[in-house]
Amino acid sequence: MKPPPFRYRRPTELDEALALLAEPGAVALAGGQDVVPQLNSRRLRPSTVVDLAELVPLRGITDEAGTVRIGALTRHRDVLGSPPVRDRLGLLHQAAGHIGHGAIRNRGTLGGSCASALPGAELPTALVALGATLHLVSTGGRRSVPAAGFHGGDGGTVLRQGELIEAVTVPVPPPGSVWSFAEHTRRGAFKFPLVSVAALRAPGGVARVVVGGGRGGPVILDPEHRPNPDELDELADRLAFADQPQTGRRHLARIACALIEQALTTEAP
Amino acid sequence: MSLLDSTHTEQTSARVPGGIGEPVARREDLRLVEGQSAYLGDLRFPGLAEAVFVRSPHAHARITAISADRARALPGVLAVVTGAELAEWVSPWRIAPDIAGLHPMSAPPLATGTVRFHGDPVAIVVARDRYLAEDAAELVEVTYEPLPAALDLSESLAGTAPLVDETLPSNVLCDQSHVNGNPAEVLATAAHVLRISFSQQRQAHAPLEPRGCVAVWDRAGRRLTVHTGTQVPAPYRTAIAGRLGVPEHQVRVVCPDVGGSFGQKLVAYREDAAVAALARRLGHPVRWREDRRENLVSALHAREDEVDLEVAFTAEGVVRAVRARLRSDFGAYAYFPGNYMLQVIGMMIPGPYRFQDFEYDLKVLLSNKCPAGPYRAPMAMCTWVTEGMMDAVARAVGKDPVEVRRLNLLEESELPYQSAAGQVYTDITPTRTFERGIEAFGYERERAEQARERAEGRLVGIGVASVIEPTTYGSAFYKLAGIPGSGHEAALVRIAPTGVVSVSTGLMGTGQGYETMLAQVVADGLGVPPETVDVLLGDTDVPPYGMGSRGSRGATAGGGVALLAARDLRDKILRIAAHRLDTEPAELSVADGRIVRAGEPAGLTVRDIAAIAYLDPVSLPPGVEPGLEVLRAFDPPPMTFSNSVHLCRAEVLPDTGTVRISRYVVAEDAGQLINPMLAEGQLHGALALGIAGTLQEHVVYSPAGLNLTDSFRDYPFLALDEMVERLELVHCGTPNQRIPGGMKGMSEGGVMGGIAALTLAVQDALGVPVDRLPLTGERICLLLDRTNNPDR
Amino acid sequence: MTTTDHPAPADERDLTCTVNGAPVQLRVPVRRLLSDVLRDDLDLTALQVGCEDGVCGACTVLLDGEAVRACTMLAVQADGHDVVTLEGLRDDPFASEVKRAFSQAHALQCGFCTSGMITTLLACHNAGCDSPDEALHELSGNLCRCTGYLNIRRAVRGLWQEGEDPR
Repeated sequence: MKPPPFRYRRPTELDEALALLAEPGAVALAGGQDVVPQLNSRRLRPSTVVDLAELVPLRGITDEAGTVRIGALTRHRDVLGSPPVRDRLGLLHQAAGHIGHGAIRNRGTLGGSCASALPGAELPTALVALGATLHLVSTGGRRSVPAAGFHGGDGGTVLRQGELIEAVTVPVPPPGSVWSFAEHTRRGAFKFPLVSVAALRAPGGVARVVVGGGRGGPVILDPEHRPNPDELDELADRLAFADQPQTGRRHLARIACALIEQALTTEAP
Repeated sequence: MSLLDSTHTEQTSARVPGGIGEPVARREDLRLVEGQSAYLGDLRFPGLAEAVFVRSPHAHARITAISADRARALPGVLAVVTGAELAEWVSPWRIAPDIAGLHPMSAPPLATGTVRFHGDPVAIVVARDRYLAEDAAELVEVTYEPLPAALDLSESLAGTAPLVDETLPSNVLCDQSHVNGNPAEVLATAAHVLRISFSQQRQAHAPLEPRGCVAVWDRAGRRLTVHTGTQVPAPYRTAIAGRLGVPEHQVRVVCPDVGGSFGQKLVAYREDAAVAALARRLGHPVRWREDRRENLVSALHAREDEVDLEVAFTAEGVVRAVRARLRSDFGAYAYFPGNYMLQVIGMMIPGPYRFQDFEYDLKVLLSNKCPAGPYRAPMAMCTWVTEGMMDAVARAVGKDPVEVRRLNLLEESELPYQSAAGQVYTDITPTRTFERGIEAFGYERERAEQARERAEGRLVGIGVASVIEPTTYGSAFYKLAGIPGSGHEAALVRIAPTGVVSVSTGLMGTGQGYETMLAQVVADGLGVPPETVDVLLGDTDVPPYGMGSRGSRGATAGGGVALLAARDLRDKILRIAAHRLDTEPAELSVADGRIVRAGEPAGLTVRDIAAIAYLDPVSLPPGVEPGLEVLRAFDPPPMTFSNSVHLCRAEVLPDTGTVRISRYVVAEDAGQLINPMLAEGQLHGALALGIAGTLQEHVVYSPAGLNLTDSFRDYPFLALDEMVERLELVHCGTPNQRIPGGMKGMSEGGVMGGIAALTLAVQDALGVPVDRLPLTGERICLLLDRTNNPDR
Repeated sequence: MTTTDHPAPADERDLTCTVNGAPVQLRVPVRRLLSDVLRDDLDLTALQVGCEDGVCGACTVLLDGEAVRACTMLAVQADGHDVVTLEGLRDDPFASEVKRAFSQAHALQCGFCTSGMITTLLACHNAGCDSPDEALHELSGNLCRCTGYLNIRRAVRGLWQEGEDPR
């Protein structure tokens, strides 16, 4: 399993990167934890791989008033180790801690995880629950998309060809907020979530229960309406769960029920 | 040949330090932990080219056209050869034993007219490196006409499935039966009869190091060396020489370090022969190193077996007769005799129990899936079947499962005992070990605790599984069972003029620690420190020809024959020493490399004797030949056995169907353990395979016959955090009178007991019969749904 | 899913980095994986390749002191960085303890996963992991087919707890 031939560029400036990515068949390389295995299996056949490693402005976490801004190239390991994230975005901190193992977190990035949009991934689920915003940039300019609107149907995202995630801004939940995160992973060492659930309840305000694992991205559920384990097909439809080789969609919906129940009964401040 | 060792001078001694029975650290570790091992991919060969195979994307199809022109034109590509071309240089694989009920089968070196499974190789590409070879493989243009595929066992049985092999009348490769006593009559007239079904899923061996080989010819193209990890270097050599039409003595097989095998590196593969043929054509070395996707899709699969039982029993719970119907999905080609794996399941269904009226019929079916091969404990499901039967009988008569087992278990006083399958059980301790296990588990107390927990609504279950593990497989077994094969092993033990010792056998290790084990055995047999014993394995230029490693025979066949050879050599040493010291050999012994008389050093060392034997042979006693080398062969008894009992307590979490194993106890009688630490390690590894096979490993084919589980993401073996927290192990070893040294072999019983004990524990927790594996969370939830809503 | 238009297959790039403390300058095809450059071009064969999918962990090496899976990196991504493989840890005292503990506890059989495990544990230790459970949690991303993990756990507990004999 070796990658197919491609051109490789490592731009030092954002404009350069965006121009390269605008070409058809160009693919961005951040941490590589999703992209390189896909290159190895030749599921991905880019004309050009654009390595973002030298785009320093896209890394880093800043704590602005009421909002935490995380550069898209910030590694999971740094999201996890960041005091503002740990202290003010506890839900994101907890989600990040669930990601794979250290070796994955040492390379994988927030932007890469969002762009890959693999069903069930921890950070997209948490970001939707936190009401985060993704800031996109391309040669055509900038635009912002709420995390909840970032995923298209059928496994994709709204990212256009040539568009990069530049940063994610996350509003800090008000004091007194409670939250929880839970996931059910595949068996074995891979530990990728089949279903991830993030719940957030702000005092006198926002309450969200978000379920990741479906093909349309994380889905926001009505937090007052606990799903009924007798209505698994309906829930599977609502969540856009698809059959996997080892697990059918109804069972994924059953797992989601269990996790939602767990999330709603164990919220932490 | 007497195995009671009466021809050997008695060695009166305490344990030899570092010898048999000692838990010494492994010598292999010295290079393995330093990263200085040499697996196939680590070897270097000047001018090495890399091979890649073009493989069928269909389960079943006709090849209507194949063109390699574009592939050959790619710079860096050295050759592209299709099945039709390769057939000129490599002869087909043919398994055609003269055995009733077994059809002959052939396989071309690469598929030509039709492809028979997803992954079936159709062409070989050789290029400067693997990257280029993969590029070229994509440029080989193959036009396929898809055909309907045979994927369903029942359709193949009914004769409604497409034919996998056009030369056969049906997809039934093998149809055999066995009967003992009069089970038909007993079943027909019994007051109590049960029907139970067991269905096991397809799995893959998936060693961490995939398959591969390097073929190197000498400049004249006459002598071939194949570097490959194989459990059986000598038989592999015979096979590959035959396929290439090269005289056997012009082929050398050299094994590097091997990253696991579990039965998958047992045969000379079609890919290996293709690589060797290409290496000869091109005039430089060629390597094939399989990748993980190839390995999961097209290496070998295993365990897709079904057993249906009819059991007649008394109201007290004594089993009177059993009829078993066994079916197995063998895949698309035969690398092994068709009856090889399934028959051992049939053979072991009687387990450690007394009933005599028994019959089985077995059918092995071809399918358009990857070929099947023996995977560590190919008979593994037999324990689940036998113990599942006992649990079912217990439920039917309203008794505790342990109580019912006690009614049926053989006692040591009944041995030797010929089982209902014709196996002669001796040197096993079914009742004694069972009771030790029950006691260590605290069975009564555990049942009481379980009752309390169930009253709280928790789904807690207990599974008990008695394992009789067949080991060693001597030549007579194959003959009696009507399976082509032989089971002897041989050892060459040599002492060099400077007194250092070396041993070689036909075994080849794939992680078991044979280098350490054999050094311990030879040290013990000779009376020398193990550090002075060098072990050479895996090079067919070094004698002897042995049948290699498989079927838990490393310690018994390999260790056994090494011990015989070492003792023979010790006897020669003592003859020489006695002559030198003007005494009788019976007055002397060897300890720590010295000749000892009446407990005191006699002033001679093994080194001194070696010097005499090689450099001063005129001083040897009359009738003693120069040198200190012994070659000994040993055909073990048809079968030996070890036995154990596995006791598992597990809880099912109903929300997700997750299984938590909360306690696991094993009491085992594996005879004399050469190295208890290594033996325990084998048990751990086997148990992990059993647990993963029960809960999560499953090769899944799509309705069109495409393998959907082609990566570790979708084929998950047990991770570190999924293994039992703790294994409580009780050693109950009793020596095996029929193997020199008293070993019994034991590396597969852990799989057998693991599958059975865990499945039965989950069954007990759920309160419903489990007739199908794997017990994924999904399947468990469905079983619970059905219990809670029987009308749905 | 066949493609006939391969972009210039000879697209190469200079790779400048340090490997096991020594400067390395190579010209490598841009698609070549770090695992292959280390093993085949630099002859550092301690790391093993079990999946090329990022799952098994047998190819774990240290990049700037942190554990990474070499099969999930293009070699050119190591440009300007520091790579350490098991060979470069020969004098590391903790790595030596791990090796000894693994052998004493019989925590390896075929050895194929061992380099990845030792490297992972070393990275853990260097990152300040201070409990055996944390180390084992980290190690649960490394696959082993042979040992059943019980002895590996024993070795790790011995390493992370004062005075506990790995045997």
